[in-house]
Amino acid sequence: MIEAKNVIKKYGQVTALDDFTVDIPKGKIGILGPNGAGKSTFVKIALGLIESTSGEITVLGENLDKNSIEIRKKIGYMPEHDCIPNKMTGVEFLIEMGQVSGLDYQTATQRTHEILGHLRMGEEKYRLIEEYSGGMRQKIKLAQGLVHGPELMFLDEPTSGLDPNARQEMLETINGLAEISNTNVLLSTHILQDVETVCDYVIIINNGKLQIKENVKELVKRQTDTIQIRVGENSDEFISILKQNNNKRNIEITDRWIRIPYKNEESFKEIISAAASAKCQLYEMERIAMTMDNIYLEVVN
Amino acid sequence: MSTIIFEEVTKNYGRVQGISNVSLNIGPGVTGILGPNGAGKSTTMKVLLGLARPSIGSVYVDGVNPFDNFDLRNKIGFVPEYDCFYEHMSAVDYVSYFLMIHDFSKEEAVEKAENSLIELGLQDSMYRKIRTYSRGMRQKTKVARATAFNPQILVLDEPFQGADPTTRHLLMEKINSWSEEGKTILISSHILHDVEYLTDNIILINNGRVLASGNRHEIRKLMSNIPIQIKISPIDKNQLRPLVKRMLDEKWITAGRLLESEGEIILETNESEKFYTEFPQILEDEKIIVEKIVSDDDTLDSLYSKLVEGKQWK
Amino acid sequence: MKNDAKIADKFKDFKPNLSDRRNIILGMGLRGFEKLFSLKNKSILFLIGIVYLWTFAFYLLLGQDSYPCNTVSEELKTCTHLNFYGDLQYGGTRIFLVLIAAVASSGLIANDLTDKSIHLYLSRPISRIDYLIARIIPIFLLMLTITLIPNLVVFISQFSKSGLDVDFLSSNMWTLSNLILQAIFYSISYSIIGITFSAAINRESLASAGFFGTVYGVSLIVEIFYGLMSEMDIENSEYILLLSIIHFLDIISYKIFNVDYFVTIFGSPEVIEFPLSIIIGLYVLLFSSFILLVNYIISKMEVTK
Repeated sequence: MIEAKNVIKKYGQVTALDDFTVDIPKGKIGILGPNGAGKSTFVKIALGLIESTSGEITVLGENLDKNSIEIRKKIGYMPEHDCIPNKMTGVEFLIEMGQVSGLDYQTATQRTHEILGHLRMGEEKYRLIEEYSGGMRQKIKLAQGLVHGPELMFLDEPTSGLDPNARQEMLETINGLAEISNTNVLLSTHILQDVETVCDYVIIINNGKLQIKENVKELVKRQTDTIQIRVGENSDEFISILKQNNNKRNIEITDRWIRIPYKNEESFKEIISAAASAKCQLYEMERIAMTMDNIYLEVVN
Repeated sequence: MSTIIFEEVTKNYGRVQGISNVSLNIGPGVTGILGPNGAGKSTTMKVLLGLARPSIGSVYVDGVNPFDNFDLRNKIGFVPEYDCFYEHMSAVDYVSYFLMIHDFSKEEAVEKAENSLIELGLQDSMYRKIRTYSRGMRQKTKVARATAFNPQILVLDEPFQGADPTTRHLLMEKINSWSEEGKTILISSHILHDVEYLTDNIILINNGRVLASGNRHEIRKLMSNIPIQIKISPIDKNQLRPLVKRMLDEKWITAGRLLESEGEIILETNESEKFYTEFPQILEDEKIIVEKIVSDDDTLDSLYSKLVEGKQWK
Repeated sequence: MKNDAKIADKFKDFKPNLSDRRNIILGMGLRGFEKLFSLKNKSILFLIGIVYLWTFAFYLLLGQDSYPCNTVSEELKTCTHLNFYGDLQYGGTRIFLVLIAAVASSGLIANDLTDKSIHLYLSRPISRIDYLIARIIPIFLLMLTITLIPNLVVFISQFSKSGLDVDFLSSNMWTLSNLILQAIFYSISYSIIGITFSAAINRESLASAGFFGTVYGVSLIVEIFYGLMSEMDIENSEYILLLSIIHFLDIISYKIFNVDYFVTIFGSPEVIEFPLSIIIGLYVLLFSSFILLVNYIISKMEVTK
């Protein structure tokens, strides 16, 4: 979907992208990295908004040097910061955006209402944007990127500042987009959880360089060698039985959970029989999976 | 050890509702305060900080009313949601300036400010102007200002907003260690995952009312009208079917589902305590080893959406 | 009907037919013009009304022989529109032209800059220059409605006065084309100035105040200074007139009609000559630097955000 070869971008003395090479597959891709790592520079170069100092970049099969304006017909962009006018109604603004992308008035209107329907905007779409809540503004921002039916959508921090329900809704919409209408999604975010729930692939950028590019499902399938347990009453007895069986291994105990190292399948058996004989409730037992947090911290630090 | 007590507190701003009839008892450790935008989280915090006087009811922080007890403000650190900087100052100037208001001498204030900023990993940039800071650095500076005088109570309003994962992780580790020191910490966040990582104790507010408060697992148990779903995955996948059959023999299992492709079964029960107590024994008797017993039902995500939608009353 | 049951897909594939850049820009421009002309903009409509009223008054004035134009040149047609734009002395439409340009152009880019929606426009399939052109079109069209149309009205009135004589048309062919050229020249110049102020001062009200103050205020001051200097017989004092954009544009517009430029200070018109090369050179320099400045301001925004 996007191929970058040895892309370098310098702002004066500062190097934002340093010999950056990546081949991003189709689907839903998460871009992670610390502030100033070069994420947004890369996104802007891929959008054709700024030019790279050197290197080659291909988006949706077209070379950006020749075609940086035409390519934007196939791309939608949702910036991070608030950037929608207050003195227009939601519908007015989206129709304008549709027309600026090249749709005719009637199609733009039809498409605007269709998208706002997906985003579950009701009658408030006819009100001025200045009256909108944060979640609604975010929806308008997403909708303006989608109105011309792009093949690729750049989302910059789409869930920042949203409350949990609005965030969930936003993530579901992004998921729906990619799966049903074949829009590819490039999601840049600080909330690693979002990448885990939405993305197929994740790339991590640090210091202007690509650190990893991995399949998310494979990544989080990786399990750690720790079993986390949560038990109810008689936990003292349970722990003492466990300790007898595990005298050589260290058991971590807090008032929220107990963690014991995973050796083999026997470990589970020991836990179950300890719970059975102590007659204590076994609320939870699971090998802790790798989370995006672990992977991110490992790569970046 | 500080405690915060709300006794049937209502706060109205003119005709606008802030919070309504809130009773809380917050002890040491981390407590997460959750709810949609405009639910009353910030009002709760303001009342606690003594920035707003309750319209009805009373608040006690360490036994005294925070609204007219200014000494209390030396015990409470507050991180507001919005930026509140003098942009031309450096972080050290900024933090020490506020410390001087807390009655520290200039030298002491600067020293404490530097220590606090270094602790939060700002040693390289703390003499630079705040104007040049990234979002994460700004959050750290705010946290440093709130904690440099070692307050016993910390109130953090969306402290992770806009911070990159590294900053987020560092702040969480700090919050955990402060909690272990016995500080009372109240934290609001829209990222439920972060709250879940920090604590099991939550307060859930919607429309100005406290919908639930306490340990999230206990809260889930109290919602007895919604059956609990438990995911179980045996190591030997051939035992999936026998296990479901066996479990359905028990009359307290109301439903069982087989997810062959995922190698899991899902059991539904209204008597979860009974299930959790007897299930290990059944596994022992049937000689089945399972590698996973979890309930997605009492994750904060699921609890939050159920409570906010009002499913606990249906 | 049994087999006709259907459940719609949640999302539908959307394969749009997107038009090319030219149509997008033209569409944006026309929509912007429509907005400027809409009933919501009462102040602009009011000013336009005044311009047209003045045209009508001017037409009546023309009917009388007391029109002061005769003293300057023998060709009535040529001088009429010059005085129609006129000085304060005779009460011209110029103050309204500048006012309309200032009020109408100030929001065009400033609003996009304040609410940052310019980022969204620039992520569309148009270039920065395309965007600028699209934003200049509305104000350009608006200026045409108050420069070209009144002039045409005057011209037609003269035509009808001549008894709809075809000879009048053929003998005044050049006047007509000059008239159109002059209107376009004024419109484009004021549009570019307006866009520059709109981009440089990114608050709508300040931008319009800045435009009017700088353009009209400076012209008054310059005129007074020129009056004083020529009283004192200072040499080359006429060059001070180049400091005022209004006077500068007038100089060129007089050139279009091939008439000697004159200023009326303290009652008596004075003819002033400037070398053509200096005037043209200065114009190109000034207005291309305006365009470059706007382009720079916008490109700067893209990098920082």
